[in-house]
Amino acid sequence: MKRFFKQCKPGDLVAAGAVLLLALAAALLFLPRAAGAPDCATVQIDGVTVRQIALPAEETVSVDNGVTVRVSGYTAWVEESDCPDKTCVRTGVLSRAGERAVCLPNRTVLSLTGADEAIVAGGVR
Amino acid sequence: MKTRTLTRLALMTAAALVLSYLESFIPLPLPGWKIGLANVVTLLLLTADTPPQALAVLVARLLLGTLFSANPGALLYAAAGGLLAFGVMFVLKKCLPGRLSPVGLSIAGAAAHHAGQVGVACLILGSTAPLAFLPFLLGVSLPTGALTGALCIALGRAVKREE
Repeated sequence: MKRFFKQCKPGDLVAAGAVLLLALAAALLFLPRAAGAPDCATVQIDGVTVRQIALPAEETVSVDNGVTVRVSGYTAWVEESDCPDKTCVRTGVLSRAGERAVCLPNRTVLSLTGADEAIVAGGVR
Repeated sequence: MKTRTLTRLALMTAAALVLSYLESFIPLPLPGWKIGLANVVTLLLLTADTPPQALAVLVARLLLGTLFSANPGALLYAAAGGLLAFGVMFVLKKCLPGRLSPVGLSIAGAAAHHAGQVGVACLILGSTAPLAFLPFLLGVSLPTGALTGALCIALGRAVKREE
């Protein structure tokens, strides 16, 4: 174990520190702030909005690319998807404005928008 | 190319593919990340001062890995991440010779890998939604990069003994 640490160099700490700073900067820039209750659930495919559901609502949306979205009350989630990794499903329940679930193979984004967070219809290019 | 080099590269490619395959069995508690064990091979070749070999094995691993996996769409993300990571590690090693051990290189490479994947995801989705994954992925690249770097150091000694 000690022999391992002898192999490390001070530059390693600099690299680690730099990555950490980038992570924090990205967190400040890209993470949704604690926003108010969401008022709309949006499903986008390839950046184009295909469904917008005003909340609260009770709905099941089956997008024809294989993704199934459930909306219940002020929450939404990806119920199932035909993608191999199911990252979208494992993202879990979205409950705050600005939260998103992304399915890369199906190029689909489920997002909650509220008074403070707005997603321009048609996606951001 | 000498037969010996060709054989060694083929073995390295096979090793990288096996590593990718094996680590896909490790359950991922959180979305979108993986340890990137196959990068140990890339690192080993880079630290042996043979970057063209590292690149060749990387490209071979990407292409073959896509063929073998059930997920052809993943090639774009894997390629973007892998090539960017290689580029960053190569440049760092060239410009800061001796300042970074495989651990530092690996952490930088892992961060570049994730950044590349998020970038490609944003382009394909036409949305900035994937950026929300970036802070988490960058944070994760610290332990995963350190682990891959450590494995490279440990294996490097073993590989040297075989020479």
